[in-house]
Amino acid sequence: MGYFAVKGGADAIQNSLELLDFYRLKNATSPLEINQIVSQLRIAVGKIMSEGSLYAPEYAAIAIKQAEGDLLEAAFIIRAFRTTLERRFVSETLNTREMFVRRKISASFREIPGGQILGPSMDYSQRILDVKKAIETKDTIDQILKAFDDKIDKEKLAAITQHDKVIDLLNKDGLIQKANTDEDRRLTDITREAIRFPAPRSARLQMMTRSETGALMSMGYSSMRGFGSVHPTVGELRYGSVPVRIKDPRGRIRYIGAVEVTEAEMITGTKKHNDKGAALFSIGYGLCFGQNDTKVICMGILDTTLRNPDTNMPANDQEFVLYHSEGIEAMGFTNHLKLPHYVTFQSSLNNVREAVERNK
Amino acid sequence: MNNDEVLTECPNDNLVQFITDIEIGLDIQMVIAPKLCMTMVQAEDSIDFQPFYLGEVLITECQVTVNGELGYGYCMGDAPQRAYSIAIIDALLHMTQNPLQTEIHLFIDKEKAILTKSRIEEYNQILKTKVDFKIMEQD
Repeated sequence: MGYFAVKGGADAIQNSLELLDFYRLKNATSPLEINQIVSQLRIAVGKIMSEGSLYAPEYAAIAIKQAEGDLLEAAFIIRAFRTTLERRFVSETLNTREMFVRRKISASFREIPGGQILGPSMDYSQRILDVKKAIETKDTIDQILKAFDDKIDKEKLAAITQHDKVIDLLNKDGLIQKANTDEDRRLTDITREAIRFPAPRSARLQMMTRSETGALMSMGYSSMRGFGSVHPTVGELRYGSVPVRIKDPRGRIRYIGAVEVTEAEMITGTKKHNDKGAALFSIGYGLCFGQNDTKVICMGILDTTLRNPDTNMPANDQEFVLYHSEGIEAMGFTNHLKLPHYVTFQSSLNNVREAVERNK
Repeated sequence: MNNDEVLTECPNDNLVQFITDIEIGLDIQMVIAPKLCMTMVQAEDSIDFQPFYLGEVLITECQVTVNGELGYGYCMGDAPQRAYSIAIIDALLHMTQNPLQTEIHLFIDKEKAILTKSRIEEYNQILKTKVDFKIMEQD
């Protein structure tokens, strides 16, 4: 059944939009300020930038406000907004080894270079509703910030250091399986070139970093539960800021800011061995804007599954994973069902009525 | 931390005030007024170094001439004043005879010190979350 173009209804649509705004504002509460959303809904803002495929915290916050917290809708708004802008530059390749690390953990190794840093994380929170959040005031926030500031001795500060990655150590020991030499390494851009299957790895990673977290999680979860064969451990997961640089017209490399990203290297055992007979590991890679552990872990799982195509397992099927974790398209298709289908539905109804009449 | 890092990260008000103070007497012509555009971020996986596109970043771009010298300003976000300020400083720093060399370096050094201190303090707060989980059999 398809839908037909309809006309008219402009007044009702306009009134519907005004009613939408009315319900958002009718209790005459204080306006949500954009910097409050950027700061206090940091995780949601990161999700919108990742799924909207545009790193712009303030604009993501506006979209969240406009969509009344519907993150799929907000990501849709950001994707639409980015189509109005000219792409003037392609950055120098991001070097995540330069990350200002706010969090780095490994589930595979207890001792990692620089130690395990939990950073800002809800992992070990009790998930008990903190009702004190309901009565937070400017004063209580100031007290929290002051107490936090007092936790460090400013006369005895450690210098910032950077540490090797866990996978670098595995790599040095020759324990990581090399990529197949026949793997398609072309750099494609799925926003400029429609995806075709089998897709090169660059297209798969680009699609997954834009995909909807929940959808990507369900695909990764399916593989871990047995509808697939990949059940990895977190080699290393990092969250922090990474510099972005472009080349200006004089050919100079210019720093333009830093993006907050989460990165995961997921380790899976393989049946292959190195020259010394040691079992090799394969690494699945995940990287996205914002702080989103779940997304990069599942991206890492699916990077591995999609490098081992198998249409008998949903998580190993490129088309199944990539098309169905694309949140904006999925939401758009689902919601098109609400558009008028009167004519085709009427036609179907007539066919049924005629069949009933014939069988009387 | 290089000049661009300081100028893109320092408080906007400080930068704008600095430019307001120095621009008197300079012949500043706008070549490209501050405008929003995007930069596609290219990334690569950390093992095989296969490139892919991570997504775009919203940036503001500006081009000016200062006393005839071209300057290019770029920064992330919707930040016209910052991009304009960076372009002016870029033009001045590119001149062989920069009349404001000392003032610019003093400003950058001051802001750099503040940013560095803030970053080190944040780093030390982050280090407070360092964990050493004991395996159950261990003490």
